[in-house]
Amino acid sequence: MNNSCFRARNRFAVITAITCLLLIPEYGHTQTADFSESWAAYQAMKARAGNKPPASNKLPDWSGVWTGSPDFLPYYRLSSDNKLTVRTSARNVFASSKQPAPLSPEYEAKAIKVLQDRVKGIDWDYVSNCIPAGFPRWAVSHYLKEFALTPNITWLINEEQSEVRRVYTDGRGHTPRDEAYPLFEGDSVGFWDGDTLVVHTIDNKEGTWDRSAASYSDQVNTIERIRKISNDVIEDQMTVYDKLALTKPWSVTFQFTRVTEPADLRIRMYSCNENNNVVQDEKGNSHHVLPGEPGYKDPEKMTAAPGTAR
Amino acid sequence: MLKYASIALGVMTGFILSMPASAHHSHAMFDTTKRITISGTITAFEFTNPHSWLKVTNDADGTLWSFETNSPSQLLRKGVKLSTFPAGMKVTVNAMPLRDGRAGGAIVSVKKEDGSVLAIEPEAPAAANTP
Repeated sequence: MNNSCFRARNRFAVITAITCLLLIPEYGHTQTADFSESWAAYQAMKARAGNKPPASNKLPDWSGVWTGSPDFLPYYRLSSDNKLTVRTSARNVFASSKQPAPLSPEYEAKAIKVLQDRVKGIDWDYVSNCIPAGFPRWAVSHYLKEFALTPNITWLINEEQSEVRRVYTDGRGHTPRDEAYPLFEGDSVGFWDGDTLVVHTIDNKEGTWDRSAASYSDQVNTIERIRKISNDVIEDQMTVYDKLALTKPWSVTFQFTRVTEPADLRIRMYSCNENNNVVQDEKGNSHHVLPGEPGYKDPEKMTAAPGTAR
Repeated sequence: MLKYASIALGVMTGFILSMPASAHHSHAMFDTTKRITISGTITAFEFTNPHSWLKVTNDADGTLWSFETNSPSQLLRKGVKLSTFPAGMKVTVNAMPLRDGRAGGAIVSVKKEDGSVLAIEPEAPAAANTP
């Protein structure tokens, strides 16, 4: 390599670096997470599976109405010395033999503060603002779920806020980075490995697994292996990557169970603003505005057409 | 002293976490250890998301009470339909009261005039030592 060529390459590298710096948003970090670790693991799985989209008649039957449960999460309690311990109970099927999320010190402190605030009677959840729960919290939502499978795309549908995850299995990659931004449901691509749908999800917003569980950052990305393990159970084996919230990737398994009662139950469109009178009070706590009080939103008036006499 | 305070904190945390955790909002506004009973007439049953509401006029003093309950799909899974609570029906509502004493609460169960009881939430107050 001659010197002039080296200098030209050096100049190109400097210009590229400056351009990259200018593209970084002013709040100090890139808009999308580094997902190289999970992407490499996903690509290895994909190479082993052979990446052959199945024919429509070869797709598994996930029809029906299902529901998730937060009981698959490791809920915490504070020990006498203010340390997090996993709470086990008959309701919480997250067995003590499973590993709770390896929280980073920052996110462990957040989880402790949530519990300490609750002891003080301060308790708030962003979904009370009628903001979608988002993914990966999606996996533990106790509302109804429905799955629509086609060879090139699968829709993973949650009743709550009518949240839909679109998993593209037509071989496309993730949204180009200069078009990406944090999304409630993230950006998902996948492939079929036999009867297992393997999903890689990035571009999520920060959130919490549940009000009394741990939080995740907007750096979270996941690999899921979803399959029906019996007529009434679909299992979602998830590996969670989050360089801010976790000290290492965390593997956790969720289940969606078939809803059989009533037999004709349907998922219907869900609008949270239809009748929501929960606000955050001055202490940061959840508060109900009741009929007749200032700020009360009458559900009948909320949905009245323009021109309706009030 | 600090040790006992910490133990109390831990016990209280366990208690608080035993409350319903997966609703659209926190239950911190309700006193889950207490129950109120209001007998009255249904003025409205709002079969809506994120929560349904049963509005009941107290027979004793004419106060309008607002009782929150589950979303429509959750109620349907418990056998409650829109026709379950017609306006004008006499009911006795057993509920967790709002902590601040206003006329509202979260439904535990509803007793109809014929004596039948619809259970919505677990009847027993959450035990402080729930593991």
